[in-house]
Amino acid sequence: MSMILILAVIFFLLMLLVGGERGAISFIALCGNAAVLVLSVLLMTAGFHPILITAVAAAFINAITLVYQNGRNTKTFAALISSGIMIAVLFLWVLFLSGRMHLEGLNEIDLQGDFPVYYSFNIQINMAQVAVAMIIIGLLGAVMDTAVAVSSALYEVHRHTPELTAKELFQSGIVIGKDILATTLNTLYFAYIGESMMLLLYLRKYNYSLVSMMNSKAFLEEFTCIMVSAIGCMLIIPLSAAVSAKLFRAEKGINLDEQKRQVRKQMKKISAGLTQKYRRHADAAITDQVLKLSQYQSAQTLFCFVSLPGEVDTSGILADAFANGKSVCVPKCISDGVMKVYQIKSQEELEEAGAYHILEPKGRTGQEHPGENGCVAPEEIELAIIPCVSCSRDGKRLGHGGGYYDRYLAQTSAYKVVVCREKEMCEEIPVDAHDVEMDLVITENHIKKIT
Amino acid sequence: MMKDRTFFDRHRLQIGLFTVLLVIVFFAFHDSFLYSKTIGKVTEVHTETSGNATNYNTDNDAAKETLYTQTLMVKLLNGKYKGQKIKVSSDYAFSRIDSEKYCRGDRVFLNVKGEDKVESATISGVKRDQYAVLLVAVLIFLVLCIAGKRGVRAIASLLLNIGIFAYSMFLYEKGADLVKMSYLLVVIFTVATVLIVNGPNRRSFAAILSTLLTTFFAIGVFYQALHFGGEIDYASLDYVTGGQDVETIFLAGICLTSLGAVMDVAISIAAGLNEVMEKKPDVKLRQLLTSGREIGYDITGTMVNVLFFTYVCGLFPVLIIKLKNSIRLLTIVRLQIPFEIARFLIGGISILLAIPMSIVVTTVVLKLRRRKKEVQS
Repeated sequence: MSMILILAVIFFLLMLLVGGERGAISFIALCGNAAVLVLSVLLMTAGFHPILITAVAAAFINAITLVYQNGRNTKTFAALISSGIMIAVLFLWVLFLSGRMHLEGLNEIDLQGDFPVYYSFNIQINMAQVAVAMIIIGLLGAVMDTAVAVSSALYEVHRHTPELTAKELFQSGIVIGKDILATTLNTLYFAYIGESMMLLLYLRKYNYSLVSMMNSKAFLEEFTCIMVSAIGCMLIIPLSAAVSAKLFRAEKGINLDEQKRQVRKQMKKISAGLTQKYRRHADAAITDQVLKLSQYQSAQTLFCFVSLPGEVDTSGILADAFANGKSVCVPKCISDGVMKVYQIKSQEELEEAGAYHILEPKGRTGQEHPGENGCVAPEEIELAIIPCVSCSRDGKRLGHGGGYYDRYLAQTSAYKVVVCREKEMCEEIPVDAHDVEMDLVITENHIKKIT
Repeated sequence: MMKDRTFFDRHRLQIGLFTVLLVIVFFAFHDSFLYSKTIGKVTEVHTETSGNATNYNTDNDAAKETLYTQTLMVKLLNGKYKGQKIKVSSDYAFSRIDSEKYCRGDRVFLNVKGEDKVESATISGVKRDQYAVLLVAVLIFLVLCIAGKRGVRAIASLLLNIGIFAYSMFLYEKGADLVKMSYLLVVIFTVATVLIVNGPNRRSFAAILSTLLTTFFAIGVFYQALHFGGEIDYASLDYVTGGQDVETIFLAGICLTSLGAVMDVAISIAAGLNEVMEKKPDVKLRQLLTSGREIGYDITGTMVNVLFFTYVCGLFPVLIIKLKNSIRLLTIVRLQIPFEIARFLIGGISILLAIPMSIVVTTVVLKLRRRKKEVQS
């Protein structure tokens, strides 16, 4: 006993030392699982249906191991659903197998020991059901482990390449599965060898022939446990890849919009806190940078937004472009998410219009086709100067959320320049597939080329 | 029609594999002609109650359960009585701890008597091996379908390990020293498995080195615990009737128990740190250690869980039988299952030790290579 105590203390200390806070959480989870198992043994002994108890225990263990240990998030949720489905399926398979294989009760070797001498075998518990419980409990750890491994690795993939479709995510989940499969099989193999070495030696020593060994309950109990675990681990790879892919894609739609809304809200606060002095200084520096751009100087037809209060002031850029005889195009919002651009000769041609009270070109209906009434086709534009609410250094842009620019810019091959004040920049901008990436980011301090 | 053909073309290998495995499983379910023992198939079952039995280890008089007698019609499948039918009777108790309840379709081994015609028979055991074949076939099918070529490699490494183990058992019977042999086994298993899974490279070298160091360190820890914790009573060990050298067998089992898990940790950390070094060759030692710890955090909890459930499940039947015989849970834990607990704890300790060990070894191995490169250039 004292040896066990020493080992247990070493185990606990190592868990804390190596795992830190998460080690402590794992340790608590382990104790919770042990408590659930002890309780289920006691309940089975008290006469409750072993299979029902096992099902409930499995649910609790899933919750403790996955939700408590890994936190509440989509990854965990995906692992939880897939391992739940898997265990339900394996339950049926094990019910069938264990019934046909007669794995219940004590094995041949136990029966040769002191069991029949000291113990009554009339205990009013159906040991066939206990055998099912045994196999199911045995596979829980390995199945949950594989489910978590697949879903959390897949989550990383999804985070870094959010444009992947559900099908592509699934395929990459299978690739991840291939990576863990060999080591999972090995872990199970050695756990089995370590556990049954004694049994195998015993069987050999007592001259069990290969045939009687292969048909003995003693050998097949553990063999079935480990094989069913391994089969569960294999099956859960595609299952958890599919569930994760579905969930991550579904989550994306809601979550990304929510994330964008959060960033906009945050930026609004920051923007409101900027002093007039800083704005003037920054806007002047940005105008300066734009005018020095070789792409600006060589451009014949350029697009430039007309600034709203709070946005980077573009009047300097517009004035310079008019003065240099460039063909200047400005946007007019037409309907939900659609805008057209019109060439204007001077700033006098602008008037406040539309729902957004944006300065827009006068006297245009919005029904014009390119060429009519100064309407310019997207392909003709060489350089586009674009506003943003915030943007990141790697050229990801966050607009007001109307989608006007993303839709418009998708049709043009213009060199896309986004202007943003340094203090309104953001480390990371949530983007989805239809967000157009910029070619150049200009702030008052930096010009950052995106390749 | 077209669709069928493309499906067939795309999955030709899988369908081929499925067919082969199906044939093998079918064969395993009809292989009774291979056996020298008589095998029969249960075709009819009649079950009747035949009385009651009491659990004599409780004070509760109501602790009774029903006994049953089954009359089975068994059709013989091999030997000189092949095709004949015989009536066999068999008893079982509700708990079925040492008795079987037979169902239609069960295959059983029989002891038969009779001249030309079978006159009497008793059941000597259940034929179960066909289900073992079924399990192996299902696993192989899944591994190959999911992982393709890498699945072949995984199965090859598994087969090699089984071969090595079988050979070592053979040597043991010839009188080899078990403890020395297990140490050797640890080395051979580790080298073979890591090389097959990972290929020959620096990462593998680091993984092998850290696995071996961890395993032997963990064995050392166990010996120290034994030394300070006093002698243990090996009599409570399972299968103790098996031989005199129980202690050595137990130690040998402990060496191998967590080897797979330790290798897994070592490979993951070696691969992860190598990745970091490749992406960022000028990475600081401190950052490397942090990354290693981060990878370690991710695996500890789940690996320990795998081991825990794999070991604990086998205790269920024994625990229930003992509890039902009025033995207190604490007594059982204290006296009768300390080995299972020790085995799990040593396994857990090895997994945990593997993390710092792999980080240090991998860092040293990878940094040394870089220094060598720098000297050369």
